Amino acid sequence: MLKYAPLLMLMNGYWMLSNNQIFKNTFYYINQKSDSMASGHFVKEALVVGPATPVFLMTVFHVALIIIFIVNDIQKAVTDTDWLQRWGFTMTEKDIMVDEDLPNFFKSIPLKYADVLLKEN
Amino acid sequence: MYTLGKQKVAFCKVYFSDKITSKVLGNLISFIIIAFNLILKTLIIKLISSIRYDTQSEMLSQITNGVFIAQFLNTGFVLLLVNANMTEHSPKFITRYIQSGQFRDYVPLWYSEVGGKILQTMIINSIMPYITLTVACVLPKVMIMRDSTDPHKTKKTSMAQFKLLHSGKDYIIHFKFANVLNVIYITMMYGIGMPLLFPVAAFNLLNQYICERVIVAYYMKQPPALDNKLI
Repeated sequence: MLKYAPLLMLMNGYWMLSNNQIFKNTFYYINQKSDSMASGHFVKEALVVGPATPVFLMTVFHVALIIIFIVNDIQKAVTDTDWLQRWGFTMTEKDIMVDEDLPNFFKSIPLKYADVLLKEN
Repeated sequence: MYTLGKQKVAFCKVYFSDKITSKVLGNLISFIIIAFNLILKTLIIKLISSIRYDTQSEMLSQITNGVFIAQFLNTGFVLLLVNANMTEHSPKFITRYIQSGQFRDYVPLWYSEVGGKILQTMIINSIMPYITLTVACVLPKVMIMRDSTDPHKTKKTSMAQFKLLHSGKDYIIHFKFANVLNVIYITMMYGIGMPLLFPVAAFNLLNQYICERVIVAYYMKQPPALDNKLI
């Protein structure tokens, strides 16, 4: 669930930082005092370079990542193969086998500790 | 003085009375949002609990997501939409319904009018863990006192009832987790425009950590072991 939080931050942040009234001093006349001023702020202006351009690029990159994850999840459900994991892009889900070279539990504990162990448990 | 019908009314008195009313109502919005969140939480938990899931983790995960989405919409989106006017944008068949507000964009006035309310809600939310802690601490003591003031006597008629009284309530981890998600999402959503939300969120999470640690250690039953499905 948390992976969508940065996406929301970048999308909304882009819209906040590309505000024409604050960053370009753009204004439009209103007919009456009660009217609200038009913003003149549209998504089609996204490719115009401005203070919000880095945020826009990060948003595009993040959307691409989310799409890759979703496609990977779908194909994993269908083919049972995690391609991202195969290519080394995600952490492994398998437990790492550690051989500490310890002897068998019942052989390593002497019989004299049996009472102590029983009391502990 | 001016005439309203047959009555003569003091202009300043009416002006200040209206001003105070609007200020009180404006500030009440934050409390109303928090109260509504609590009602939503309880309702959603009850509704989702009635659905039978294969595992406890799956059910908790569904409750977390449900509660979080409801809270997030209530805290972060309702204020935004109520004050928005999107008639400038496409598609018109949707945006024509979003025109109740005066803000067509995140203009400077938006930050003082709407942003301020969101920040206020988050600040009140950040001290809520202490209220939860107080309730979690006082409520069991009151229940025990109502049972009997003498520690050697009880009105309970069975051992199970007596144990239930003294063993603490179940720890509702999904309830808390949804709240953490809500704080993070709201902060992320408006944080770029209102950076003050970041320290407020950090303060909120710190308070939540302190209070939950105390509650888990002293006042609640040990929570069940959960897998990573909740996240």
